[in-house]
Amino acid sequence: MENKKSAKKILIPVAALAVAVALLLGLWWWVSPKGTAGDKHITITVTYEDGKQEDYTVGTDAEYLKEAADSVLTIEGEKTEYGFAVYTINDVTADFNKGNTYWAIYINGEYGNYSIDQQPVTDGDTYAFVFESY
Amino acid sequence: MSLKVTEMGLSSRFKTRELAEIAVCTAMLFGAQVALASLPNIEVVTLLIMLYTHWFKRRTLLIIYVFAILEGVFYGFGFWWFGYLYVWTVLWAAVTLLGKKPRTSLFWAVLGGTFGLLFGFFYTFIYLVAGGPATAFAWWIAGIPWDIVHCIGNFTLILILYRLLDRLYWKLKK
Repeated sequence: MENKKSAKKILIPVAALAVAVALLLGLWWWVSPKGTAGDKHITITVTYEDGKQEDYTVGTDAEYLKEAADSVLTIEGEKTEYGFAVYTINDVTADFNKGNTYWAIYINGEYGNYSIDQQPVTDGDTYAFVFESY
Repeated sequence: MSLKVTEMGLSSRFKTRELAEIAVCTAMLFGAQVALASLPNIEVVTLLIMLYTHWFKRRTLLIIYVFAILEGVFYGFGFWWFGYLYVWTVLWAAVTLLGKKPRTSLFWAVLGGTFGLLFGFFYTFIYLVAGGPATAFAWWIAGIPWDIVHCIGNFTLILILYRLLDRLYWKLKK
């Protein structure tokens, strides 16, 4: 009887934690953005600190923005636990880890919420990289 | 009078010793974080802060904030740093509240695992302020696989090391 009680005491919190892990994993899988295969024609723009803008028209079969952007831009950054963090575009650095500037991503003028390796590419969309500060 | 002087002497010596302990523990916390930085989301900061909360009570806050400043100086005071100003304090508060009665290592391992699992969620508050709810939510979701790694790492390390380090501390303190 006593053994049963202590086994319950061990199992219940561990099982609760395992259920929480499973629920979060399910939420992540369900909510995470998913790319689609096929040809797309998109526009990529880069706006630098001085306001100078460069536009690129890109034909691509990439599912996510990083692959499409890599075909026309020189992008440096690092893979983090929250996706690929962009620090440098075409030799211009805006690294939020070292200062108060960063490369913001806009999709059709709306602020993007995903990193470039998680942002799905959709035919006809415009993706803007903008040098910003906070 | 002489008794008072002796008491003051003892108290002063005690304070000096405790200050030295706190300084060593802060250095250990920072050193351990830097040493394990290359392992993504495997850390002993959670374990040590839980132990420090038991050992030093409210004075742990001093360790937490000196640690946060050291992290900022070492890695740079980037956006991430603002999270350090409250995230470890949340852990301290949870351990303080739940530590009022004796608990098993398993209990603390579950608490540490839960903290690791919610670490990204706690961090969303700075993204909520900076980018709004959509950015904060997307950021939290993107980090869930790593929060799970954090959870498993914390759970395992605390289960193995918590009792061991606690006993070692009290043995050395005698």
